[in-house]
Amino acid sequence: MATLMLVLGVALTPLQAYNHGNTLYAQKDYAAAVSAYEAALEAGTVAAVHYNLGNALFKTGRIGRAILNYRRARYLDPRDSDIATNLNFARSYRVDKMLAVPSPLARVLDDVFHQLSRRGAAVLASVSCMLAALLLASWIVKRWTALAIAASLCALVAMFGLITQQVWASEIAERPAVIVVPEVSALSGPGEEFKQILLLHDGTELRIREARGDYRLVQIPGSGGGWVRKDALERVYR
Amino acid sequence: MKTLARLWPALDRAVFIATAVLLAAIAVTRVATAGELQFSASVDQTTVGLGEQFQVTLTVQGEDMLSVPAPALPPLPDFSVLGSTSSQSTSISIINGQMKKQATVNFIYVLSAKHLGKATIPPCKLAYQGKNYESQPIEIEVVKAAQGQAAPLPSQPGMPPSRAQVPLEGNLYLSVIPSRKTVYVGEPVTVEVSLCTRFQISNGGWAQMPTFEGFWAEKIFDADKFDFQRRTIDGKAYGVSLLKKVALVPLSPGVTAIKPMAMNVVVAQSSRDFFDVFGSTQTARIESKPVTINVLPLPENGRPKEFTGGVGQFTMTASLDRATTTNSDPLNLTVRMSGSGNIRMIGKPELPAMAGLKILDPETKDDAHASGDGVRGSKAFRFPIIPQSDGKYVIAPIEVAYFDPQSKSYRTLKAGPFEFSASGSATNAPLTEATGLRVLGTDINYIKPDASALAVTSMDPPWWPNLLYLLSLGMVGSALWYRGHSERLMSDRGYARKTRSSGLVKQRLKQAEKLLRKHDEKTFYAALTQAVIGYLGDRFNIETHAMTNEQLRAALDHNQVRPETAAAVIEIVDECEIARFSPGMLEHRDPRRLFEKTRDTLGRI
Repeated sequence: MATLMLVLGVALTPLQAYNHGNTLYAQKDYAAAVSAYEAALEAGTVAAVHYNLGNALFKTGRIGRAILNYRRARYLDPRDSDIATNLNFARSYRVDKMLAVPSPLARVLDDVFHQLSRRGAAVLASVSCMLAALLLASWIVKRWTALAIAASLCALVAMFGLITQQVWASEIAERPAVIVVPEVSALSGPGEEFKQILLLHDGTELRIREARGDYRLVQIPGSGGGWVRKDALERVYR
Repeated sequence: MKTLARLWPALDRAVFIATAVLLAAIAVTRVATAGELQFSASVDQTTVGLGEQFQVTLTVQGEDMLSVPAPALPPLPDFSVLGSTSSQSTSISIINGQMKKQATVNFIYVLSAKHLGKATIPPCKLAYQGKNYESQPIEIEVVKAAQGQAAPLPSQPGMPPSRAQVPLEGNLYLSVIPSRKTVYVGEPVTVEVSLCTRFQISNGGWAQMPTFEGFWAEKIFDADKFDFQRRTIDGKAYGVSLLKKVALVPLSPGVTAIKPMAMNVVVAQSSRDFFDVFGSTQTARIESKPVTINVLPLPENGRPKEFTGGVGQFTMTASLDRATTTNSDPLNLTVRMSGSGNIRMIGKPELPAMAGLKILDPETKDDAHASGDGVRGSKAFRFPIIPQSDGKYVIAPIEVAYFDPQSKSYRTLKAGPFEFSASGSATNAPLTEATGLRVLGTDINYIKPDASALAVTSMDPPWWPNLLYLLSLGMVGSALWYRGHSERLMSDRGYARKTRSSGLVKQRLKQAEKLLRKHDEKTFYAALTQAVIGYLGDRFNIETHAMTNEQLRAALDHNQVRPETAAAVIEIVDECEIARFSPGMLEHRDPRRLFEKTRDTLGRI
């Protein structure tokens, strides 16, 4: 059906594009599947579309863009195990191996505070907060202990939601980005005439610290940084 | 004894007859073969210098020649006859039982040419036994004589020609000739080293070997013995022997010289008489002149970045030895440059860097040989490629540039792209040995299935939680206020009374109105009084039990009630009192009007 529509020159709706992309992927036509999924994203950001797009990009060897899309999918649906598995798989395929290993505590905290998406955390925090306020108000008036306990519990839940929200927000504030070209060198200044100090490859994740003209000052956690051409990388959260 | 004596006269007669027969036979045979002569003429060189001596040999060959007269030389206007000699030889051969006697007579004349250009020795005539024989004419080319040549000495006939003492200068030298005098860096130039001589060389050896500093030398030919060929150089006849032929590739730009080389030769100062084997010898050292080659640098502008040092004419082929690989086995990409030029000096081509591939330094193999017109061959670079992970890889096309000195421009050759796929990389197979399952390979999880609707969720957080927060704040705030209020209610009586006042007065007024309707005047007036007093008491927190008018007036004053309102209140209270206790005093009693007035007044407080 979708093929017929394409043949007729009719543009597909995003939903049709997504399903058509799935068909192309099953036929192993990964490059065409990438285009189809990108068309599906016209409707907006959808976790499943980003995940499928990541898969198609991975199959065509674009590790960096695959990691980008897996991260976006994870942002929208952090508890999905497929997304997490594929993100790790894609990360293991990149040329620059990250030497910094996070501590077990950091990993546990990371897991805990990434159970909810940012949107979900916002909703949970506000609703719990309102419940807690209601219970508190009731307790103020009625002074029943049960009310106080319930209010505290709601407050805790709200706090959890707020912290999760804050964790996501700080990740976005870091301006994370991924290298999307096979190889690029990081220079000591914003211009081609500066000395090359690091060699970066497709898929390396880093943070943008500063922008100047066509160059971005990037930092690789635990490794250092340099200035990279802006067309060599893409930001995770626009 | 007696028998021999009796036979003697018969024997004598037999011998005589035999001898006669034999002689006759011989005579017959001699007569039969007499007259078959071969007569030919030859010269020892067909190109002679002006005034130089050369030999003309007239050969007469025949069987059983008794005596041969000297052949008559024809008139030779272009030559002068310097001398003559003759030699004779015979040979006897027995063929098929027949005896043959062959005689050869050589008449050798020494001549010299008088004029430059082409001259002909006309046929020579020989008359023998009634027959006339003629030799074939011979063409001689006369060229300029060498300088310093001693004048030819006329020699008398019959004497062997004299040995002319010729100096070495100009007649014996080493020549070093390059194929081109101006070349580019890396462009091969063929150099021939030859020995040029006008003398007999019996021996020779290198005194100073050629070194060719500043060049890369590829041997084409090295002579192991002399092999003189007749050449004409500058109008003179020389014997030239090619000693060495090399292809030289200049390494750097500028004016580079081929340094002089030297040889020791043994010159045989002998005559050209082949039968004279004893001659005097002289050892000479000859040195070549230095030869400069102007080496141009390769042009800077227009030089592509893929230039790897090749100068000449080349083609390039490149191939991968496999299209698939497993277990991180390396593949080999072989790039081969073939053609003619400085093959050995071509550098390795740059392969574009690729993510996920480790490309090692190449193994080079060159296969070049120097031939007559330069160096030809090929050079192969074999790059081992190791894939780091699974997947399909595409190696971008390889470009190599070289400089073509014939067109004086750079040319770029391109090969590729190349595709291959790798699977089963050892680095990406986490084996789950704990569960005992045999892991065959790893891959990403499959895509999400088709959907009936796309659940679009925005990347930005929603805006309405903020409203809820405000709401929460509002709720807590109002609860707190409420709490404070009720506590005050409980603790502060005046406050409590005041809060209740309006409700109460409304209630009482309502009651009063009911009574009014019922025309229960007495109770009505009592209720009205109670409402007013009660209201004032609640409002201003006054004890209204048994309050006198004065007390009332004072309270109103104290609480800053307006004078006209206060007066109205007093009036109402008075009227109620009169109506209750002295009904006769009031003439016009209008309870309704009073009620309205009360309500109005109280509303103003």
